[in-house]
Amino acid sequence: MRSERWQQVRDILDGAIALPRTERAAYLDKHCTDDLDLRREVESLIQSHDEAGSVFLNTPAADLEGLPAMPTRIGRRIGVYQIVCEIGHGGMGEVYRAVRADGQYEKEVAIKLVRGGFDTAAVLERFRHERQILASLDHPNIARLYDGGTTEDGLPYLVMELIEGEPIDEYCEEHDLSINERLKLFTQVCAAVQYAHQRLVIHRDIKPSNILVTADGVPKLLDFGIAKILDSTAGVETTLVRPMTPEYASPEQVRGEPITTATDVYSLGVVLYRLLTGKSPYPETTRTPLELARMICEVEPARPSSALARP
Amino acid sequence: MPLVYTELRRIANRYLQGERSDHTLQSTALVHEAYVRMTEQNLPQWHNRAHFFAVAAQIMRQILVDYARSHRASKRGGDVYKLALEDAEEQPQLRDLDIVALDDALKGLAEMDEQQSRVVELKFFGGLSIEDTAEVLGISASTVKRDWITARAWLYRELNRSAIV
Repeated sequence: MRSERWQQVRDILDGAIALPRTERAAYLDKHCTDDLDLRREVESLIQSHDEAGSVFLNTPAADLEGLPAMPTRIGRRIGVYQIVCEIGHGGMGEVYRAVRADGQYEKEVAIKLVRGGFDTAAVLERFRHERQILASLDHPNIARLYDGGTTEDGLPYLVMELIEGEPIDEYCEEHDLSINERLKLFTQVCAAVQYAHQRLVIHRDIKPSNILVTADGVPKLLDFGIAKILDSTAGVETTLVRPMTPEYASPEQVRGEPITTATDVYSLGVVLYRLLTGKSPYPETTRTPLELARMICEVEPARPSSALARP
Repeated sequence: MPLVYTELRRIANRYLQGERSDHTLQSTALVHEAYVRMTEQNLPQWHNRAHFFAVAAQIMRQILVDYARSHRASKRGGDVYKLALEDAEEQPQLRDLDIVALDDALKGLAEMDEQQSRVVELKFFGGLSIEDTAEVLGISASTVKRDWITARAWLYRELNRSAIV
């Protein structure tokens, strides 16, 4: 349709839609006169308008269910590894279980693939910078970082020790651990964090889902220092927009201020709070990340003992 | 650059503060990615709010269409990727929305009526309200409303046509 014709159609359509259905025919008689094509066109669009109802396009695209996922990588190769299955995914990308495809040995690893669209050059640059330090973290309670690189289609990936276990909070609940047993587990986590801090590595994203307890009851910290590599704003003096739940974040992280080893200690405190009380230190009525951010920065949490007394 | 960041964070917050509590990751990830792409474009400066929103909506559209297209390409048999609308059960005939077809239709609309296609881009892809859309385009809210209603009717018909063919 040419644009002059569309202007004409649009104006009559606009007038007709505004009227009650019973008055539309008379309106079209008047405005389309003997132009049958015009009338047919407008009538067809009135019908579309009615059929479209209130749903079509009225939910913003980003809120629609089922945003398209990236094509599957199962069975494909990344470096010398072959992808076996997906273990998890988040805003930053996917994590896969993989095996060495060159038959050297039967070792299984976890591969974290950074999703397309992130600033891959900057991620690789930070990775090159950090890999020596991270790969040197050798502690029984820290999952090892082995390697990293870029896939054929240019996405950065990290190869890490595959840890099979449950998040520490779920593990404590399911095994019905006593306070003493919980504390014992927690002190091992603290020792691992202390070890890394002595080597000037900050975790930056300590939370139960990053602390897995294996079937043997050994806690393992995942993703040490990875948040820094993936953080597209690292080094930039701005607040973070990160696809993460801020529940375990420290006030300085929420405010976008410089991060120190105390940041990890704060997050450890929140984890301990949950292990001891089964609750978050922040009121359960806190719903949005913004509200939560305010709580973290401004409100003193209830003491764990009084939190336990709460129904 | 900090302005870009604040504005995008504001958009992200608005998404996150919506009535539904279950959509957290997807929309934040989308906004995050939009932010990264905007900073990669190395635009010297945002002239104003309107300019910023116009570019943000364009980039959100680009990201969603790219994803839908790559998904389409990865599936054998040319199966089309579709977004499910949340009120699917109420109106089964509107269950799926083909983002790639919508993008094509929107290009057709732009040839006839540039302003209407921008209204749809800002409102649907950018998530802006009628009032914000009016501000960005420098037109009245009632004009936006009229443009939106007629553009929607036309797009709906186009999408149904392409679905039948």
